[in-house]
Amino acid sequence: MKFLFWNIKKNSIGRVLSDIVEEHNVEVVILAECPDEIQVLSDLNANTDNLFHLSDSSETRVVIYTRFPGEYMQFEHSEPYLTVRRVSLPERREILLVAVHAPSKLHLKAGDQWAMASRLSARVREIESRVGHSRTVLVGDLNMNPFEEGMISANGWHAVMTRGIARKGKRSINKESYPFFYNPMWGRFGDDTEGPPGTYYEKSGSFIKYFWHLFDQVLIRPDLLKSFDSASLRVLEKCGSTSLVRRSGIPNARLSDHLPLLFALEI
Amino acid sequence: MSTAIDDLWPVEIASVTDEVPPVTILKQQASLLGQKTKNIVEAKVETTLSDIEGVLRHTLYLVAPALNFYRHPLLDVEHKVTSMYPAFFEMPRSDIKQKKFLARDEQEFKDGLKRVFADEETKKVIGALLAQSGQESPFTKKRKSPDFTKPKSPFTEKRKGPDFTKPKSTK
Repeated sequence: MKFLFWNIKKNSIGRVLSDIVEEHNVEVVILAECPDEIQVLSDLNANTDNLFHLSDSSETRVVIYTRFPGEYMQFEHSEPYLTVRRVSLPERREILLVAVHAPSKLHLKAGDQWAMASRLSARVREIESRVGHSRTVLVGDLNMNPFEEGMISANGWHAVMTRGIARKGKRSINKESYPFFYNPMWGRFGDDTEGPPGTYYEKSGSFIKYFWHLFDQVLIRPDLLKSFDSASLRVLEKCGSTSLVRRSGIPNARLSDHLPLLFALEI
Repeated sequence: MSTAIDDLWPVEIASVTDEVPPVTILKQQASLLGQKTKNIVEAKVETTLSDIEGVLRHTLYLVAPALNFYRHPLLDVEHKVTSMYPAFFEMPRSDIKQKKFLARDEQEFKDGLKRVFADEETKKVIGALLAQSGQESPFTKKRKSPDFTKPKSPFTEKRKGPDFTKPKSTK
């Protein structure tokens, strides 16, 4: 099953999105900053018989479209920055899909972002405990880089850089247990990796500047690791003949200042 | 000493029927509505137990995702749990004269559904849901766009404004 996440910066991206999903056979589309859910649905379905369905995203900042009817993606929990769905297709193992659009760095300091990550990750653990499994995939604009405290701390997203560490499942601190996420985005930094150096580019006058960021990430729980093929993970720079980046390589903000994230799970 | 248990069940434990269950037909039709509206208005079928013991109820809802997932119950179908036909169906919220139908078999059920779907009241509801979702109904004829190649009507020509180049008359 192929997933696409994209923060589209409240732009009307029209055909570009539908061209991407058709080119890559995407089954689940998750958007942040979507300006018009119904217009996007119309665009997605304009030239296909395999129609997308809009799922109820009224309480959250992300919008989810699926090729399969809503009965196969049950609502589990929603709040402004996070929504959780149980994807349960016939003869396939159920997974939890967590979609996140975390608050921007413009509005929160690093410590606040960590506190927010701590609260949201506790919510995910609580839901995993309630539904009885942790075959969980989390995707979204986390508005933090993989190396930031909110991403790596045990009481944050606890997202580690190797499968080997993630396979250990969890670690205990002060007798409290925290499950790992595997964060494959660690392997996508800089210009010596496959694809662009990040998913978001930002330049301003401060002394410390990374320029490229990986705010858009996919995190996989250990129980779902076997279903995830790292080769399927791509940060897209083009769709057909349409480039999503400018000649300089940075995202074309007329489409979006973020680049889309594509990945697949064998479920 | 063990005693063998006699298997009293026949080899064919269920009689073969070619009839398609009402719920299957409803789900197929629900899917087709989505195809026609590009999922701007969808239809969903929910099955519950009726208030009458031993009777199943299938409700076909029209769902408008753009209108905060508003659900409009279009029709209810009821039949015994143990037999698919006859099926009794009604349109609880409709203004049409014949609100209730009895379908004795699959063909009558399909004929009844066809009448319900073709009813002006049904089209009106779907049209209203689509219009409020910002889409045109697939059941209404598309308006012709104006033909700009035709010469303009002389009656629609812009009136000439006052000619300010002429000197004002002085009385």
